[in-house]
This record gives sequence, structure tokens and C-alpha cells, in this order.
Amino acid sequence: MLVAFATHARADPPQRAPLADAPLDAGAAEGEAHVDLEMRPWGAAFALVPGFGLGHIAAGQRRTGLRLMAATLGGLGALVVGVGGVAITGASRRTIFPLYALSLAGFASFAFGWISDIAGTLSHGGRGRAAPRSRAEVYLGGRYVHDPQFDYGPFADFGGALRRGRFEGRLDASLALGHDNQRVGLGGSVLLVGMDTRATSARLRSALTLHRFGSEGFQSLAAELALGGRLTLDAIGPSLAGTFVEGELGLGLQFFGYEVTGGGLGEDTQALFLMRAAYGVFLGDGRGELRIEYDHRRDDFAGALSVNSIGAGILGHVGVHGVGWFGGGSWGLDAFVEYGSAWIGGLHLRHRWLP
Amino acid sequence: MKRSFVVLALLSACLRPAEDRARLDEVVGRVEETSLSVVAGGQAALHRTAEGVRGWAAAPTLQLEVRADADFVLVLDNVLPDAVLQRGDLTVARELSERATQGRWSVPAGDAPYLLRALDAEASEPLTIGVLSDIQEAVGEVQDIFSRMNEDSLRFVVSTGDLTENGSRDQLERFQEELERLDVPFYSTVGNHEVPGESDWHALYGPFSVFFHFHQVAFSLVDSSVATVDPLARARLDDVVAANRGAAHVFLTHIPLFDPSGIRAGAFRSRNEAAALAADLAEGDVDALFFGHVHSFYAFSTAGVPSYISGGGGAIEEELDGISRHYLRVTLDPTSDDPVREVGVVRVD
Repeated sequence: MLVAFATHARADPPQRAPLADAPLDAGAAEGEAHVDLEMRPWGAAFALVPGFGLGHIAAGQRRTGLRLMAATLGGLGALVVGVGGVAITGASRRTIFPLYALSLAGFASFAFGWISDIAGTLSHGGRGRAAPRSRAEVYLGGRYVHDPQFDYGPFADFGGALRRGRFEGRLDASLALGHDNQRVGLGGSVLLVGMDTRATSARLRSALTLHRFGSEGFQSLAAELALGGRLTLDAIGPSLAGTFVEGELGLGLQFFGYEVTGGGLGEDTQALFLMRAAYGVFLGDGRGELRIEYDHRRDDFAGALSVNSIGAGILGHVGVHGVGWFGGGSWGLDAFVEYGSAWIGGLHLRHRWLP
Repeated sequence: MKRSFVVLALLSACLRPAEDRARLDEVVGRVEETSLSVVAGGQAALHRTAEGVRGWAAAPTLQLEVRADADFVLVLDNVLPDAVLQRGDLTVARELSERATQGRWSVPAGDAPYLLRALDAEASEPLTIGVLSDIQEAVGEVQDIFSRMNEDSLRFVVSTGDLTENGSRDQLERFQEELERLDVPFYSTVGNHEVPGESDWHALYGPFSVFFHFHQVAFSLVDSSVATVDPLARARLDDVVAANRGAAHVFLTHIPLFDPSGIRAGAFRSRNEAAALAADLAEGDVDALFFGHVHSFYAFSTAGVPSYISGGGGAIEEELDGISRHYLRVTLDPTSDDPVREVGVVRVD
């Protein structure tokens, strides 16, 4: 992801592919060679194996291919250096943060570079583009959490966001319907680059989340600060129009309180390492988006991945998130599925106020 | 409807990576044949031999249900040097064996319950034990540690696992061979490095989670090798915690509930699960928590319970921490309100 941003920084100013034109032609408009339609199947095959941008190069989109090669090779290099560093230092507490961040960012850049090579050679550019940034948004719905360790069951979710200029404030709440469990979060963010978190942008985000486990006799409060952003991939090449990547890196503190020790938060304090990476596609002309996501945090419902291997507990959870706006208007639906130490599925009705 | 149920069952199974091991624990420690049956109550690995039954004790006290049509020879490794085999008031003579931690008995034909125990098993005097975990690839150097332990008057050694690199049968057998140089038994749960060889652990070492009492102290060694405790093992632990409320009780598991360096995530896969378990252990008056997995030494508190991470068996060391190979020397006093009298770090390098 970081490599992708770096590549973007060196690239020409981004130009979004024309929506009405076949994206195959958009390449020529950016100085990219025309896609050789006869080579398209070979491009897709090379994108699958070995990847590294060779799919685009085989399909005649050399500049995009080289950028994807830089992203995947750079990501692989960062992953090797990061994991190697963790091994050499024995996962020392004094060096783990940069090495972990490098490893995960490297993996994200490698994986998303590969996916982009495949998607770009197969689709040669989508027609979707980011939905406009709303002034305010509210949602109401529910989620179901299936966790073998807890009897969570269904939750009612509600919340919203208010945006003014570069600033956003938000409230998110999840209340269990058949269990004594409540989670409430307050957050705020400021845009540092760009004016819309749905298009290329960077932002600083903070949040406070209180999670009460009444049935289990404990509660936690998480305070976090993270720097994140989104890059629309038409900046890398026209064949990637309609797709984007996201990344976020941050730190936090989580405070635990137990009824048995008096209930006060702060009995145990744990650092939080925040790292999120996503790859997504825009649905239609501002009508929504769909993204796959890796989230390293293990303090929420989803926890870390369930694997029966030596590496258990290392990786966070994965998810698919989608939002769609009916006719591109004010009403919409979002849905998500997450998998980690639990399965979580959610569906929300959304309303937004556009500028 | 049936298809939906299958899908739901599969989704649930994906969330319980330790379930197979918890189910194996329900059937561990049994030799059941028509002419000879020995059941060790889940506290040992047993297998049939030409002359009878051979096994590996996973706890200092074993209750054996025996049904034999003819006399047979019982050979048990990893037993206390002074352990005796009793049937009621009758003590079966312990025969000469290869080493102090191996017991050999000629058991007469018949149906009867037997008890393998040390005569001081129920004593209430202070008890000194060793805690050693995370040997992994350093199995060739572990003799240094065993030699130091042999000088230390330990009653036995407990471990949170990672005895091998990847849990293969060869490596598990090699570690058992190395243990022949340790003068006292070594009781262990599994670490994440034993996960690939779970069937071999089951055959050679017995249970993945084991619970026992010695000197009025309850020991709970629980499988968290995949960063979670399976609900089946958790239910057994809950029963043990409830039964020992107010008594001396130490809890050992491989993966720390929380990693003191929260960024590293050398801890449970879910902080919510970790906090829920911490709350239950604190509520159940557990006196100390011991973990491995992180190759250093940490002393801290979890929900008010004294907690220790010790991964000093020789696996790749955490750098820049000033701690190298080590084990813990722990003295427990069951008559005290604070039974953990001493936790000392014994440096070997």
C-alpha cells in the first residue's frame, strides 16, 4: 500500500478515465499503448502467474505494468525485510512496531498489486467512480455475531456522521438484543489531502470506543489515532479506473476493567496496533462501492483469524464491505461480512444529505 | 433446511481450530482390548506392548482402571521417582527400571482400580517446581538446562509447550529421549509449534490439556496453542476453577492472554476472549498465570492476578531484553493466603 502511494507520487497527475468511453481507449489518451486485444488472454494469464505487472505488460500496457511491478516487487521486498527483521530481533518489543508495519504494508502492496494486475487485464477499466461526499449520514440496522466464545447473537446498530469542510465527527453504536453487551464509539477525522474520503485522500482519524461485556463482567475503552488514506487506481493506469486501495496505520491504548477487581478501567492496559488495508471497486457512477479488507486489530468483534497452524494469532481479520445508493440518491444500504475469531454479518439502511 | 444446517456447522467449525484436540482429550489414555483394559482417566498416553501396557504420564497422580485376564507388565515413563502403584491398601512392588522417572510393575490379573501416586501427594508442605517452555530448535542444548534443574531440588517441571520445532513424531520422540536426562517428570500442554503434529502428541504425550493436584495445589495446563481455548477445554477449566475456589491454583497455557507489548500480538486471537477468561480466572481466585510463546521473561498482572511469561528454553531469543535461556523456579505454599511464595528466574547462559 505504501509502495502504491509512493508510486502514485511519482506518477503523472491522475486523470479519471472517461465514463462513456471504452477504457481501452483511455490508455492512449494517457500516453499508454493501446491494449492488444489478441494479447488480452495472455495478459490475464500472465497476471495470474507470475503477476508482478506482467499481465499488463503482455497486454501492451507497459507503463501501468511497470508501476504494478514496482508495487508488487516493492511490497514483496518490504515483506521480506519486515519478516526477516522480526525473526532476527526475536520479535523484540523495542523494534516490533516498524517491522510489523513494514511487513503488513508490504504484504498489502504485494497482494493488491497482484489483484490489480489481474483485474486490470480482465476488465481494462471499470466505469465506476466515487460517490460524492455527503454533508451528513445516518444508518440503522443490525448485525449478527457468531462467536464460539460468546453468546452474542443479534445486535441493533445505529449511528451517523456529520461533515463540515475537512472535518468529520461520527457516532457508532451496537447494542446486543439478547445479551448484556453494548459498544459505543465516538470518532473524528480531518482530511489532510483531498476533499473527499471517497476519492484519493489522506486523513488523520481518532476514536474512543467503550465496549461493555455485562454478562462476562468486564469492559474496555479503546483510544486510538491513525493516519490513513485512499488512492483511486486510475492514477496508476487507465485499466485500473474504477478501483481503489485504502491503507491505515495507527496506534492506540485499550484499557480493561473487571467487575471482580472493582470495575475501574485501567486494571490492564494494552497497546493497540492499527493497520488496515483494502482493495475496492466503485459501483456505477457514484452509486456505491465494494471492498475487500484486511484489519489487523483484534480488539473488536472479529478478532484475529482462526487458523490451526503454528502462525495462529498473528493475522487479524478479513472482510467484505459494500454500500449502494438507490439511484445514486439519498437512500442506500450497506452490508458486510467479517471473518476472524467470529463470523459477523451486518445490514444497514442508510440516509445521506448531499451537498 | 438440511443444507443450511450443514453450512452453519461448517462456519462454526472454522472458528474452533482447537476442537479436534479437545475431543481427543476425551478419549486419551486408554488401552481397551478383550483380554486387557487399562484406562488412565485422560492423564496419560497408553499403548499396548507384547508384555502388557506402556505409557507416558501427563500428571503426577494417575487413577488406573484395570481389567486383565492374565498378569501383565505396566511400564510408565515420566513418573515421580518415588511414585508407588497401589490397589487399595496393597502396594505393587516397583521393579528395577532404566531410570528414576520410569516405573515398571507386574500387575496381577483381575478387575481393580489402581492409584499411581507419590506418598506426599496430598501433603500441604511448600512445593518447589520448575517452569520451562519454548525449547523448539534448541533441543540439542536443553541438557544444560536439565543439568541445572537436577541440582535444584525441583519436585517436577511444568511447561506451557513449544518443546519442538514443528511437532513431528521424530522431534517429539527426540524430546522424550532428552528428558531421560532430567531426574524429575516433565508435565506439559502444547504450544503452537506442536500443532502440526497433534496426532503424534496424542499418541506420545497424551492429553493436550491436563488438570491435577499435588501438595494441595491445583494445576491447570490448558491448550491455547492456536491463540484460543476451545469451548470444550474451557468448560473443563471452568469446572476446575469452580472446584478450587479458595484453594491454591496455578494456571499455565502457552499463548499469553495479553502480550505486555500489545503491538506484537503474541497473545490470544481475540482480546475479548482473553479479557473474559482473565475475568473468570480472577473471579475463581486463581493465584498465578504462567505463559510461554514470547521468548523472554515478563512479570506483570492480569485482572489483578500475578502473571509471568517465560519462554527461555532456547528458541530464538527476544533481543534487547537482557534475558537469555532460563527457567523459573517456583515455590508454592498451599497453606498461605498468597500461595505463590517465590518466582525466581534461573539463568542458564
